[in-house]
Amino acid sequence: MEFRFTEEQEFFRTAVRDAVDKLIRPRIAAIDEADDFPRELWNEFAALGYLGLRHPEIYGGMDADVVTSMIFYEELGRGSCGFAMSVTMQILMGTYFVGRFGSEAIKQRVLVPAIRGEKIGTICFTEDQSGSDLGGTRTTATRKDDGWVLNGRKMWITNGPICDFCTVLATTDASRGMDGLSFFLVEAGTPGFTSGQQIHKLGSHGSVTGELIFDNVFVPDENLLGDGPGNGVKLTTAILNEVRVMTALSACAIANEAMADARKYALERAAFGKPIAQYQLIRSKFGSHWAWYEAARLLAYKAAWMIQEKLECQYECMLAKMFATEMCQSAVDEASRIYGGNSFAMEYPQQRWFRDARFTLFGGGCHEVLLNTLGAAYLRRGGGRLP
Amino acid sequence: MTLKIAVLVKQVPDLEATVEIAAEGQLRIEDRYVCSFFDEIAIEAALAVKAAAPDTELAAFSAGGRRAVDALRRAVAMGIDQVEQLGDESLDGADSLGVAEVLAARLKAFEPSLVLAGKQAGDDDMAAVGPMVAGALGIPHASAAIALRVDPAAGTVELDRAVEGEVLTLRAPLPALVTAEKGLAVPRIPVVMRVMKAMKAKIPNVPLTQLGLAPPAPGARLRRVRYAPPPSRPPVRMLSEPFPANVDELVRRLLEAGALA
Repeated sequence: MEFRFTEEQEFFRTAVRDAVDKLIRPRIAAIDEADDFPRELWNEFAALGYLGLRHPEIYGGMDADVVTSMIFYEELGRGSCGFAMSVTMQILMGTYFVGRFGSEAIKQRVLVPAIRGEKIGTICFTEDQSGSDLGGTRTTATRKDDGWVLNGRKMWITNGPICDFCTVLATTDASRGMDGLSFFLVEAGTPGFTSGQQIHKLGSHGSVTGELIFDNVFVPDENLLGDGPGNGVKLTTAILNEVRVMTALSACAIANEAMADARKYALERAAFGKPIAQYQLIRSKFGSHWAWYEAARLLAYKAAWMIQEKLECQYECMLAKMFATEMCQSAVDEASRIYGGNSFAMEYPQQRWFRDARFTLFGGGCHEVLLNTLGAAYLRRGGGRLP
Repeated sequence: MTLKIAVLVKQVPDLEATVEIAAEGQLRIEDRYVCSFFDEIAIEAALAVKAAAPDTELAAFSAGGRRAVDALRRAVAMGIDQVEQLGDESLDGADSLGVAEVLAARLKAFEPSLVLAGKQAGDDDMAAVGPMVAGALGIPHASAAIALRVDPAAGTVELDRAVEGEVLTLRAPLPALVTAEKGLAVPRIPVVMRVMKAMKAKIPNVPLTQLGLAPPAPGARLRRVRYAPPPSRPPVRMLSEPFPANVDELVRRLLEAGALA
């Protein structure tokens, strides 16, 4: 077994950390307060080239392996949670299908500028009545001439209100349920494609999230991304695995930052004549956090390694996501208790970590659905014994 | 003349790394290291010279073991293609003079027209290796430059130093060694293609024997005797009196502590 990152990966981590420290962290509070997409920061960050993390070098990407990309997401999570959401959407889901299945013309038109940050992409799974339940997708794609006509509404779309293109999950045959779903590329300016209401979120400010409307939107055949209609869900497993581990490591980063702030506070804040860090009940919070945090990170990087090794790891990715994001809720809660009443003041950072942490519960599949799937898988195991 | 610039770099503990006293003269340092802040400024200043005079040859050198390699990777990520690790782990216990001897031995062969380094290392703040290298090479040395102007045609370097609110301008014939102060340049954030290049780069090593220095490496003639922890800060005391009584109480306590005359 090997529990070390390579020297190269460690170096990569320091490079990303440096970029996050210099470009993003000084603006965290301002981004949170403005709750608007930080276009200037986006352009500066895009110029560093990280938006092509997982794409081939011929399109301007860096073709990073899975573990290296997870190091990037973890370090990015130390900055603004909202900005990280916009960036990860662009790198992972927003460009995944065009990068994997798009024609050369689509890649040149959409992927290359997206890697440069000049075009913003997103993916549209969720609707008002379906999210984790993809089988409930009601957006339709109907065959017409040499293409497809899309109708429906998508909700909770990160980068939606500012996107230049999106990958839309729609059903081509409602009678086939999950087997009738496909992905289509829709670009801004296509007649019938508009942006609806914007959602005002509790946290993750700085990423803009909203509704996208498809009203008789015609796209040509080449915009069907994948090997023919009906293959959509089969194609999502690989990317959802990465999304879940990415979410797990974002949660680890939020937890770590919240507790690092709390540590500093506990060492400085005095009560009854001594710093509160000297009280056992406060110390126990740090000891306990350390254990849960390490466990969460190990699960996440193990899952990342399994993806990289092309091992079957759908459940490990769910476990990592579920465990790390629950750990994160506990960490921001304990950190806010250490801050006491000050955690309730907008002037202190704890309230922001507390709000931002909540989103990790829902992105990449909500826990109630994941736990149901995991429980069913556990019950199917021979003898019920884990390895 | 075509310029040849050598940049001297060192890896030092990250400002956020935990540092504890392990034993007399020894520290226990968390394994979080970065390229020294002032050395990054020197790298950026060297890149600026090359940007103005594209035929300039740039190289970065670092003496020591694995950490020297990390510092050099940073130099590659920032834009320097030619880098060399000098010596090995045996140098990690060397003092400033020992490190300077190794660097100078390599620079004698490299024959730089300009040597740039940070004005001091981010860990021990000795500010010694740069001047010592200049001494060993027998070339002029000027420290803490906040501006640098190289004139290859005239074969001179001119630099500004901040002195008591004034700016002092110095000029030296090349070759010369200049150390970098904050303000000379703002280190860039490396772009990802350079980061990838740095990650994959094979950092060449020059063994001490090749430099004519017989192992063991130059030892520490300067010995660390002990580290003393800084005095612990008294805890913050909150004044419980309501306003305006707390102001009177604050003044009384400040007078008592001798903080107010």
